[in-house]
Amino acid sequence: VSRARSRVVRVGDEHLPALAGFVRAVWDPAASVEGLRAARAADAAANPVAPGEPVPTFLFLRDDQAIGHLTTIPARVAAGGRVWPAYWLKGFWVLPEHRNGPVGFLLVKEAMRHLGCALATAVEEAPRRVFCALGFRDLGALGEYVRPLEPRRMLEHLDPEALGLAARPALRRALALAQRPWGAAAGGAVLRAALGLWAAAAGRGGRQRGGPAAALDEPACDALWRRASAELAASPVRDAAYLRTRYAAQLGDRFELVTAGTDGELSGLALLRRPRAQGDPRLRGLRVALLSDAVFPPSRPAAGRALLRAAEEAARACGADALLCSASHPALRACLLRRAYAPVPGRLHFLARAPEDVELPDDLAAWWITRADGNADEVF
Amino acid sequence: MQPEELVANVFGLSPGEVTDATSPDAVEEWDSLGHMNLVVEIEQVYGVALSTDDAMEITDVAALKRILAERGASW
Repeated sequence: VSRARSRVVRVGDEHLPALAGFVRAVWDPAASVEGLRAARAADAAANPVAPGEPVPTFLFLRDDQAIGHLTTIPARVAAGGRVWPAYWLKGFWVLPEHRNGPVGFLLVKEAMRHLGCALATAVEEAPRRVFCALGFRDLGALGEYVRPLEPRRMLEHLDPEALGLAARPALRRALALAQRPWGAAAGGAVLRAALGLWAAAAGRGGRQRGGPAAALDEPACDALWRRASAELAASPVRDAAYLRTRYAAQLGDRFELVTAGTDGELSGLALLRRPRAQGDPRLRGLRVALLSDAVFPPSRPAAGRALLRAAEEAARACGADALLCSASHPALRACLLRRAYAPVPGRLHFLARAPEDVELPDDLAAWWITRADGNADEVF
Repeated sequence: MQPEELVANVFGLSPGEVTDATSPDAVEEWDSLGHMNLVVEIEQVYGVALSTDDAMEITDVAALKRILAERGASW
């Protein structure tokens, strides 16, 4: 009996049939070699780290069949006053029948041979163990916050166990009461009033005015990023080029842009991902919008609050029951709490691996990370 | 060292819990990283060099014994 030949490869044109087979099996039954070739060419053209070069992607091949996959998103990271090339790990997937073998480990190990600075977000423990064994540092879970927009519907649908309220009997009892037929209506009205009072007490953002915007004002975005990044220890670059590549084609469709400003100056911007019914299992049955991205100088919390208020209004206009936000930085987290976002246990961990010549902070709070980073907003 | 004992050491089991049929399905710690720890331990204890194909073939303790025998290792 001949044994299968196993190897990890960095994907080139000759591996596209195997890549297409894997993508068809796991994500998209309609994937084709030609479609992937075109997508890789488009990604290469937009590659901010090595313009024109294909984005690094790796396959674990058994004979000619791909059984494991790992790709990357090239990014730039601002840290310590410099900008470093980096790669987000993405699409780390091993066919179920080959998990608990060497596939995942060897895929990441090979990727690390090719990549310098690498970043990842992960919920599950198994990939985090592999990443850490290969030099990543797990900086911890991002803070997660939920803002009820339609309190009655939220009370009707929330699952206390899934929300981690098992150890908080008083909250669990209150939620059970509110979930009785008459409870959701009454509780929703009370909660709506309480949230309104809380948010009003927190202030709307002073002179800052927030609202929807139809398009990116690129010079203003670059100026905003320069001001914000000067106050941040570390963050993936969020300048106009990044924002254009990431969002411009999807504005008004998948994403809504909101901005805050005063006296004609842009002081903050955020990208809202429109709600969808299937998402975070803790919020099942609810239409949850996501604050994918946000930028404002940490020294201007009023801009952050105005931005959040505008995002909440945009989310309501999209028919969302709740708005979810993940954040690492204390400045954004403080704004979320002041706008009456309820913290829920964080699940999405941020991991970073830096070569010796790259200095990245080890403290999660030093980073400005949101759900958009590493495209983690695709799953929420 | 018996292969069962080695597997037990790597995954924090008692040797009596490990049989020829013991596989990743039955051992929570036997994930991708656990598998690589097992491969490293096998190479050190038995003085063999395992290829990626060998590592892929270790799907349970019986397969581990077969590969060790093919590599001329004894226990």
